[in-house]
Amino acid sequence: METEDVVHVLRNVQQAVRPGGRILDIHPLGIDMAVLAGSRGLGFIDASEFALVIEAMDEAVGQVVSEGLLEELRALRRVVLERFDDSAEALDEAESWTNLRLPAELARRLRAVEDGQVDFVDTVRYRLFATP
Amino acid sequence: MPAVIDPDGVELETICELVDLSGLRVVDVGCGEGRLSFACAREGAEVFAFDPDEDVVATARDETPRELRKRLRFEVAHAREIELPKGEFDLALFSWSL
Repeated sequence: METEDVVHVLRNVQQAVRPGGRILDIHPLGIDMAVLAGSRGLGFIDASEFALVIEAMDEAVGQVVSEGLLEELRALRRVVLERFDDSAEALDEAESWTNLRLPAELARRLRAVEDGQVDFVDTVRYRLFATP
Repeated sequence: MPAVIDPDGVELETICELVDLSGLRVVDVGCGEGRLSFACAREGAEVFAFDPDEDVVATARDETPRELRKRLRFEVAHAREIELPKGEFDLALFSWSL
């Protein structure tokens, strides 16, 4: 979503929440996104482009906060997994990415995993806002 | 079988740490296949959920557990364009959708 879209969407949704209500934004951050085969670490996903998306989104949210439409109450971070039955499924998922990239060496290691589940590990941020 | 997001249930646990969902009127913006919509409804919320992708909304409707149907409503809509009633909800949830 473009920055101006994020601002528009937040304004639109904010007016639908009662005064004193809450808005909870849950978003993956792409920080140290590890790939695991079982308990074995294979490497890290390149999320440098995704970081720019997060930066733009934060800017848009900041704009809506500065307009007085939202007040940030709390923020938490948690590690969340995305689990695949096997490496082929994980590679299929990686092919659909637009702002994340599987480095060549990591892709090679992932292709070499013969069986067992694969996890992508991400840090997810939970930001709770109040509406005035 | 598609990927399982959050097999350990961290997301719902964290949401419940931040908000008591019981009895809340929740709008789930960009709900996808309803993963968190279902979770909120199970916690006692009434959920209106929407997503611009017709296919995922169809899946969410198909997969809504019978016991949750009275507390869940799914629609195809884009957050830029949808007309939401003013002050209708206690909580808006953006689940990986901003």
